[in-house]
Amino acid sequence: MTTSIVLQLIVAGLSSGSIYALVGLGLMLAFKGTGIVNFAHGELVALGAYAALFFSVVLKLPYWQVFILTLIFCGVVGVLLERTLIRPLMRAPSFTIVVATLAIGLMIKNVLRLSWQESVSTFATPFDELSLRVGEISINPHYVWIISCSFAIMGLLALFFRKNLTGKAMQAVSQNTTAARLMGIRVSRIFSLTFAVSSAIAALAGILMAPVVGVEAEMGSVILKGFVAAILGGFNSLPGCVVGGLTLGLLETFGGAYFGGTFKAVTAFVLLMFVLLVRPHGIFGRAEARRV
Amino acid sequence: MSDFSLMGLKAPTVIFGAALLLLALALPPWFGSYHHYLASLALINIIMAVGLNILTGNAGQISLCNSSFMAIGAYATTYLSVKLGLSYWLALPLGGVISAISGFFLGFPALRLRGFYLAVVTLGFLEVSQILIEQLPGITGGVRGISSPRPALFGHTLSSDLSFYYVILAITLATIWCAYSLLRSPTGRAFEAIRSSEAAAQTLAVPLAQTKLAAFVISAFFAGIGGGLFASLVGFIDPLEFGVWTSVRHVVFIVVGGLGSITGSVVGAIVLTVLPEVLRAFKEYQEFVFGGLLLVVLILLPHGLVGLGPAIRARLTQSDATSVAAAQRGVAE
Repeated sequence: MTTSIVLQLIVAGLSSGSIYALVGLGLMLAFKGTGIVNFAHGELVALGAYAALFFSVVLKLPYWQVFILTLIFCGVVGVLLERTLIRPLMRAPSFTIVVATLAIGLMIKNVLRLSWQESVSTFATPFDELSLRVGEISINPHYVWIISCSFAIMGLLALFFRKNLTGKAMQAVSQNTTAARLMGIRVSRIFSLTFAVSSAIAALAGILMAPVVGVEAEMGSVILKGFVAAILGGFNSLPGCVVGGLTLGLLETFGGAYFGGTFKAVTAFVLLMFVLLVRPHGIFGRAEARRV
Repeated sequence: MSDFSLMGLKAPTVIFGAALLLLALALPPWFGSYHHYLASLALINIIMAVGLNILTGNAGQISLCNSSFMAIGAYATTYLSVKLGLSYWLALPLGGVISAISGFFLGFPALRLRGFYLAVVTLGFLEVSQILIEQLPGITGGVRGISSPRPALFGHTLSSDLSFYYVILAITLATIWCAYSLLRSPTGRAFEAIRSSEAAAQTLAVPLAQTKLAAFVISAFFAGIGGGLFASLVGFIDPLEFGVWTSVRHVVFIVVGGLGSITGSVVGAIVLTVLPEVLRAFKEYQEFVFGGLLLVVLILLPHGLVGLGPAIRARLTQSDATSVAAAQRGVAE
């Protein structure tokens, strides 16, 4: 195997890895902020892709407007979801939360499938006609865009949590809701904001992956990869999730190239099992004491 | 009247069960083949729901891969009877056993997990089982599927839907009886104990790992038997039959029927097998309807349809009590 192929595989792996990291990040954010593990998150990714498809194909907007409109649209959907369906579930046992969010995902998937039945399944991006060559190697510009865009967003998020007052408030709520409320933080507003950001990140993942894999209702199955990324990182830390996602992406791509498609398909599950058995709190997380 | 009980069952449950059984035995000859097929499907769904309910409703372990065990049972039964030439009546329980063994292997890592981690792992298992079905065409027929003929009993092939229906009915009754006895046994009590509190159960010397594993194995066995019956009822199986949608449907059965209740599993499976047929004009909206139903039941009826009876009775006696209290107040004044 030559260096050029290895380089291409690295770029491809990093690009799918950063998608997984984004999906995992959205899941983790909602969980840390509100205690809800959102099994409809995959469908929010699909919703983002469908929204972008609609804005681009039906309204014929240019890519950059599509990009921003989709993020806003999905953020609003996230707030609506949180206000109407998630809020009543917040104190429910984990079984109820899992099943209810699955149900929400099912409904979203059904609506998406019914509302878009045209044969068009992708939208134009400025990167379609670009070609990137580094020396002998040609690199898919979509991959470069996915990687740089994801990293920019993750950097912004990290800054947001460190420097911004609202970001700090979100962290405070995730650490201790009661204490945060006593400090004058409007907790319910933070809950909504958390879901808005989480859904917008999901939508971003959807927009980014759509030109590569095509828009379809089954896109939501990427949620499993997101879970693996987040659990690898301990379901607790932003850098952990990013490293988890990239690891998964690289392993999958190289495994697929060397050992074939079946290997690629089972990588995520095997990795998940391995981590949960050997280090259930993830590579970066710390074991948590549990109150009985 | 309220003291009446049979083997520990309350009067309404006995009457309801007996009426249902009578209907199941007497009605079918009056109907056509399509209805026999539908009724058999409902019975198989009862087996799936009863098995899943033991794991989820009684032992409190979330599982989103019930359809994987169903698939394992279906493909194992088909492979053993068609390719290896075993008798179907031997292949069916063997399929159940193979499914139970895979349940053991999944349950093993799942021991350390709880709540949503378990949901994620079972979801992952489902995905892997789907991929393996597609990648092992020698055994499973791959994406093209494999046909699974009807078995013969005492030299007669059960080709008519009615005769196979009665066979499935007998197996379903046996399943329900097994589940009922199991839940009244010490193991069944242990399931309830680990669901309410793992720590408290452990202090009472309930072996946690063993009990959870038992729940996984038993539930997988039931799903395997259901899958084996499903394969020969439908006559043809492919991986699409055993996807995440099927698993979620099984969860809907038990949530809508009533978690932790055998009556609930039966009611949920029957209602939700018949409902889509009644609403066939809205087939495209099926996922939407099931999802909406699930949400409504979770929020408004946490004990499912079987919780409805006691809830109404409580409401009635409560209003009785308030009227009696009001009357007494009136007398006092």
